[in-house]
Amino acid sequence: MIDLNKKSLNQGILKTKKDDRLIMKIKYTFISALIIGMIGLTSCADVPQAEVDAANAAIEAAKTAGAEIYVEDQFQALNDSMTVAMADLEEQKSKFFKNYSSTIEKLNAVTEQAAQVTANTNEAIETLKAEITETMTEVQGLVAEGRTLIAEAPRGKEGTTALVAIKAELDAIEVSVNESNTMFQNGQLKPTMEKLSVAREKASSINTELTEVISKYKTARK
Amino acid sequence: MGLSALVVLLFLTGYVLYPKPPLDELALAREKLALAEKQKASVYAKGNWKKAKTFYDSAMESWSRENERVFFLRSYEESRVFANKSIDYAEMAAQEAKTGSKKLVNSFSTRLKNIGVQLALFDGTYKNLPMSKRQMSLLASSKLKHQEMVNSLEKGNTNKMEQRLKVLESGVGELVVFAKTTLEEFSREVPTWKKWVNSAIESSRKNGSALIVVNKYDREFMLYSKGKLQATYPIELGANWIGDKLRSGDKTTPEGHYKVLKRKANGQTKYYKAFLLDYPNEEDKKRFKQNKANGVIPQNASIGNLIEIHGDGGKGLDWTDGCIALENTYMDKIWKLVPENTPVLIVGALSIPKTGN
Repeated sequence: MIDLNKKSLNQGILKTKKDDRLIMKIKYTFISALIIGMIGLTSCADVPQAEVDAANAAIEAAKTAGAEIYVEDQFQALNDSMTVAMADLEEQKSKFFKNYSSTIEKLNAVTEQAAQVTANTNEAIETLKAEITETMTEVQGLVAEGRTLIAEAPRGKEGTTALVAIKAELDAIEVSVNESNTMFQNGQLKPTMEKLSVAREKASSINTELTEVISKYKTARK
Repeated sequence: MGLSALVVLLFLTGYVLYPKPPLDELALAREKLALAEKQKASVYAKGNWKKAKTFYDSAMESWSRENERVFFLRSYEESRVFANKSIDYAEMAAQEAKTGSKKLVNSFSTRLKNIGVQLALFDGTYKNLPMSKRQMSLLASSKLKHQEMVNSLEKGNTNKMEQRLKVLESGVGELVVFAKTTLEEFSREVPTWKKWVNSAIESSRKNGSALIVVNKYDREFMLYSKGKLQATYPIELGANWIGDKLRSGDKTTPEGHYKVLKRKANGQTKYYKAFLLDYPNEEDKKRFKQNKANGVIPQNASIGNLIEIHGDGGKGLDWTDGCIALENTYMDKIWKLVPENTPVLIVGALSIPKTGN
């Protein structure tokens, strides 16, 4: 009886140990699965590298187009957007459960924005180029007009002597136009336009002055 | 029950162990960098701006590096430190840029203003100074360049301003030195000219005769009768009016004691009416000979003649070949008051001209 009881007790103990082992096995399996799952979950989303590259390439294209010079504020805003997008990317990378959808949205928006900035840059360049060409022709016309006015301007016994100063000014404007043209060919559009604006202003004022002198002189001669 | 507790414990441990990235610090750094850039820190506070940018990039790199590690091994402390340093340097850069740009723009503005004042002298005090073709060209291009720089500065563009200003200052400086030296040399004769005029007025008073005084610097024709000033009229001279006449064709009006040699009525001169002067007089001839001997003028130079006070003036320019031109109405007014042999005293100036100091 006792033996039997012992046997059954032993059997019971054996059974309990088996159950414990099973429970432990289940626990370990669960924990392992949990850890694997956690690791899996924390690394299941892929970094949107293609979008990052596309955004960077679009920004580079805008820079190459001259956005930094011709649409400075827009280019700055574009860079700021990219910085924010990259920070968002790192933020997602830091998270336990990664979700790059907002980052992708931001990066795609940057790519679109960059394309727009590039288009705006090209437009600004074309507008400026047209303005430069027009102004250059205008200044050349004003200089030619100035030279004609000099021919009509009052002069003394020695002909052109008295108008040398004005001639020097017209010469200086012509030199300035030539310099502007070189700058234009070198792609320095903004400084070219600034230079030409001053040349135009000066040529205009010379012609006004000459016209007034001629008119005054003609009136005095009548 | 035990299992649930374990899962909760695991999550809590994970939460506690999970490091927090320096989001706020980096966002603030971005904000500060944007503010600094607005102040053009990349131009006016290069050092601090570069540091701020480098620290921001380092913070991002460090953050990115840590993100590659298993979460419980991550530490964002380094990234946080870099972000904070970026904030500090961006703030400093913004401040430096603000004061720096203001200071720089003010300094450029002051220098441009000074150049403007000097250039304006050539439309005023130095307006009639005879200049060489090169000097006139330099003056004209300096005026254009000055205006270009003023416009650039108004737009806040200081790019290459320092170099451009130095070139401009050097060119304008050269012109100003020339003008001042010329006027200073010219001014040395003023006391002598004053004596001449006083003495001539006295003679006019004593003799009861007419006297013409021509002040070249002030472009004035003065008519005296019996020592009393009767009229003052504006005149125009030769383009090279400053200094004494050296030879024919130098476009200079001679200085000295002359007299009216001949009265040319309308029809006898190209210039309405004229008083022919006795240039060259004996003194002129003597000086001309001496200048030739000293090599001041070429050996084949001639002394010139036909210096007149004539009409057709009023053009607002120095246009004659050395003569003195008056408006025709003034010629009419003085015609009857100036007989032949009337003394004509031509002087450079009667007061020391301003040299633009």
